[in-house]
Amino acid sequence: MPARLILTLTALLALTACSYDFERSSEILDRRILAIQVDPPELAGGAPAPDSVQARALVVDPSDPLAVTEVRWWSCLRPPRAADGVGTAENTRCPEGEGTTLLASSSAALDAVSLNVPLPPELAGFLATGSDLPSPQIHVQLEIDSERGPLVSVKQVTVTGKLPEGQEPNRNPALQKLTLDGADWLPDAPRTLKYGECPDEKKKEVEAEDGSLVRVCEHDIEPLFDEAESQFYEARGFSGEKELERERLRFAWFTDAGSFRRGTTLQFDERDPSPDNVGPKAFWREPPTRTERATLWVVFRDGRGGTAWERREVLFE
Amino acid sequence: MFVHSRRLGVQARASAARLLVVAGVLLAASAGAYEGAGIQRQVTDGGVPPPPQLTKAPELLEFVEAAYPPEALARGEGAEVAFFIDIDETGKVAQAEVTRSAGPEFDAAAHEAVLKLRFSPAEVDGQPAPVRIEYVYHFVPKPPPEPEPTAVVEKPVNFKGRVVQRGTRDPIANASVYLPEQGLATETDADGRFELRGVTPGRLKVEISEPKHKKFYTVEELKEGEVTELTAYLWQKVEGGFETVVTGAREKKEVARRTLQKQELQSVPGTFGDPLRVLQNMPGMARAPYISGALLVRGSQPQDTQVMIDGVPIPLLYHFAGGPSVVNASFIDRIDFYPGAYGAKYGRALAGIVDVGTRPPEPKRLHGLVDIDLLDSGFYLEAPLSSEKNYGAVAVAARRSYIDVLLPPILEAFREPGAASTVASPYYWDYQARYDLTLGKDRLGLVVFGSSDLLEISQSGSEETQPFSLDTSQGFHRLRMSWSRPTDSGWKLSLAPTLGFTPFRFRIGDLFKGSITSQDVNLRGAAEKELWKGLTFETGIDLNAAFYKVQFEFPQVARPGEEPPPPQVIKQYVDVASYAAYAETVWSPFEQLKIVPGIRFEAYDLPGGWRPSLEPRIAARYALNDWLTTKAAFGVYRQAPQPAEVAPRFGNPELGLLRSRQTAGGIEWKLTDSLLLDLQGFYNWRDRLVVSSQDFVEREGEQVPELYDNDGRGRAYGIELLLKHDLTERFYGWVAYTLSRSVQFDDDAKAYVPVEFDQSHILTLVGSYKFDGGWELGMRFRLTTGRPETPISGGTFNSDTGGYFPVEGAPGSARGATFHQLDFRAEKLWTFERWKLSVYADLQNVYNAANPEATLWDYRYRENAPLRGLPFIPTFGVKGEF
Repeated sequence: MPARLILTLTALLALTACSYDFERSSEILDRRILAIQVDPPELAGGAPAPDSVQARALVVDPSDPLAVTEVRWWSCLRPPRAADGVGTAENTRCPEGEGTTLLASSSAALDAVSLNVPLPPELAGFLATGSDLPSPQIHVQLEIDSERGPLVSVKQVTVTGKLPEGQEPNRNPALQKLTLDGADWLPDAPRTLKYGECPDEKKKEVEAEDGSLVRVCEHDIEPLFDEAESQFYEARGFSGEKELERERLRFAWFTDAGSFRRGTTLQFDERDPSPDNVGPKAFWREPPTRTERATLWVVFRDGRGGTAWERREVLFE
Repeated sequence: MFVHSRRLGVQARASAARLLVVAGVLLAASAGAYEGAGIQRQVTDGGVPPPPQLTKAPELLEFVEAAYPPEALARGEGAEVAFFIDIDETGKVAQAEVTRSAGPEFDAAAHEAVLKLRFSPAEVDGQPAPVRIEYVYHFVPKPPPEPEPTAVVEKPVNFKGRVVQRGTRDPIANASVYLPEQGLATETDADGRFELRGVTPGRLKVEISEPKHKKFYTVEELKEGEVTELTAYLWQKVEGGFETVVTGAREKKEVARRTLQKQELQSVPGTFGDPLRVLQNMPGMARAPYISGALLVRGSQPQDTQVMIDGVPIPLLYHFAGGPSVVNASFIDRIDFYPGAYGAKYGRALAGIVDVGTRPPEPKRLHGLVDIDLLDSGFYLEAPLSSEKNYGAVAVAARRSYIDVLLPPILEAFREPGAASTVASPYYWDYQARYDLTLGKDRLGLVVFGSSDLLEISQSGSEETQPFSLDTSQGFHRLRMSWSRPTDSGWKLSLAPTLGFTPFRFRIGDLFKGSITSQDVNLRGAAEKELWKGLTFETGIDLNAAFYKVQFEFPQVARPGEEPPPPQVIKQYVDVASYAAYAETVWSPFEQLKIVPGIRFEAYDLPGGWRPSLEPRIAARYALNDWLTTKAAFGVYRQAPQPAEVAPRFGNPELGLLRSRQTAGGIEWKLTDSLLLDLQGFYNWRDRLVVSSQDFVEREGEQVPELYDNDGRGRAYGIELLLKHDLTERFYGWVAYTLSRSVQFDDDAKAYVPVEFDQSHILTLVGSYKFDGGWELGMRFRLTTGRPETPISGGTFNSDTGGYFPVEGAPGSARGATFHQLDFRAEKLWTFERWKLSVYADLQNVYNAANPEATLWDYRYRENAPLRGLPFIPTFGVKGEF
């Protein structure tokens, strides 16, 4: 083969590293559904099953946080799937027509989107038997009107006929507290900050709207939780067989002003060799131009259907 | 052959007779003619004389032999020179005028001789008179007279040498070596050697000529009592011209076997000189994205086409899945590509077969090349083990990349301040070696080849990341022995066992590691015989086995307050084997018709048990005339699932064989001696394809995920056109066009949807031409329909994963952008006596077409942007060959 001198190796590498100027998911620009929580997230056989589960949604809108909008809830049953993703909804909407039930259609304030989702009778019977056969799953679908059309989200209520010995049904995770720059940050207690005032080493460059680079203060936010609360469960793992797993919290960060260095962080896991395994702390950067306030949300998931969130506010002096 | 002089002999006397007839005719017909053709008579003054009558024609009394032009003599070239000759009344030639020239040399020689001819005087009305006649002088080279039967003392050889091609040092046979001043000449033998005896000492002018080479002139000094040796390096008339080596016409049995020869495999623009990538320009091959070398035959998956080297399947085609191919191009003699409907000799592939043929090493002399560049360096050498004795010949090649040296500084240059420092060391190497020995009727061979890709990544960690390390290595090694022999009873026997080893290892940090290694055995044997004229029978065996050892180790979950448990270790053995026997006949009931029925029986030994397969095949060719042939074929083909799909624990051991039924038919139209049009249609049914499954099955009393099943089905159909110009000394090229459709049933859509690699129209034009002065220019133009895309109209948020999934329209109902690209290649060759140097530039995407390869979407499928393909990329190369 003739020898070759590839002069544009650098260009090829640059190609792989190039990025497009898309919106970042951690920045809230318009109305969005950030999460749906169902409680309990898992219905297990062998114990009396409730008639319904409580579903509530985190819906945000920076232009009008308390807006009232049309809300519709559906549910359907999805067949059991053998693929990975225990406790996670299938990437599909409920099919139109037979098999999908419209649970509710009404107006609601964005901060009060919730519903009691009744348990389908056929599943109640299945759970009562405590069978270890693969079970159909309850698929809950929420639709909210917005200026850019309906926003749709799906959420699974996990149904397990029979849990492995010693395993508890899944529950939604909980945080003990959040800290901002090391200090407790309580809910309903906005933190007041002086815009742009921080040590030099805590200033980072961000891009302003006009494309110029501006140095702004960066603040660390750390979620604290009781690791002992992480549940153990069985799942089919890398080996192809059932393995003992432990929940690992995943944090998704959102703000309507400023930006996050990384939009998602993870609970530290000593078994994880990837570079991102550095713990759940997030870094929030102030907006390039001063605003009066900023709202931040963190949605945390246990990776198998359990979901919860926290909301905090920052006020700039 | 010795040619000392030319003799006219009989030819001259024939000329004399002819001139008499001409003279008579012209005189009779030309009453009143004064000039030009025919005999002219002297016109007397006064009155109108009566028409003169030729009463006696001139007769040639004395013939003079002309000096034969030496060059023409050396070439064995004859000629005719025609004259008008004025003969005076004494019979002497007064003047001669050329009326039909044979070139200045012949004309001059003939003119000189003609002027000295002596005739008996012509008589007009009984009196000697001057006449003009037409005379043709013939030059005819004649074989030398038999030597005198007396005992002759043979003179010693005192001038000898060798004639070779400049640059390659290939011997030139049948070259004419001529000493014009001494009239001595000879020809070179098969080894390019010559000898001359009894050459007169002194300054020797030597002329050497051969039709494909420029004439060579030199002056040598020969001393009394000494032997002078000369090595002459002749220039090719077309410097670096393409060579086709035809070792024997290969019988055409198949409907679609496309063969590319070595010269066509190394200089197609845009392929980086990579022979396997050249296949991507054949009909039936879909375009692979970017510079991927994946072989996408008639819309199928890459794993549905089997690639072999000398009949041995190879698991990896390219380094790092998309880099250079694993075989040095210099080792390759030709590539046979069967896009489908292939014969019973091959199997285990639903789509096509690629059989790379390595070339036997040069048995006569040392030859090699060295290439060095920023990415890799390598060498190729071939030579006989002995120049005197028959110890066989050997060829070796090896290559190693330098990317591990280049990449780290580039990564460091792009590193942002505060970001982790990354050291990435990917490198690859490959090797090939071949040994051939002919002992009487037995031909023995040994081929060893292998490849290895290694990647080591080490990241230092920063305030945002923890330290990270990754090591992977993959490769394969094969050793193939071969034996063949024609027997006295007419059988041609061959046997080729192969042993191999295929390792894959990875390690992530200190906690995760694994390996999948296999030991591989392959055995091919065949026996072929022409039972009677028009009926050839071949039978053979084709055994293939891979013994996998799968091993993974990863950490387990630790409970609070407990010591971390030891890592989980998985060790599994998976054996996959298939044993095949085949039989095939080539039957020609009459010359124009050829029918090739075949049957292949194969038994697959998979983890889930035996899977037998009976695969009938039939092909037919009918030559309507010398330039038009029709052909058709049908066959059943099966293929085992991939090892990962059928392995216990990781896959579904109960999977069965995949199947395709293929039909093809078309014509071959020889438009000219070197231009062939091949037009064929095909229709393939595919079923029992392996697809992922979400179902549960019961095994050993437990409901377990099925993971895969054989419910996939699809079909592919289309038309392929190949207009190919044979490889000649200066040119090769082809036009390939495919119109096709490949679909597979989609369970969700409940309809057939286009497969991932379906491209409706694929047009490729390739051509390369060698100009004088060592220049070669080539081009490639491609135009293909975009790949199927599923339209997206928005996104839905999955609250469990935290991400969005697209809201899709009908699967595959849209098409990506049409792809079009022009590539150029220019090469300049310098030929020195003993070696050659070439420099080339390969310009991909000359007009920088954007050619989006995919669509990028934002996180919630509202905005999108095209992911463009490769831009204009120039590459440069240098090669030295000796």
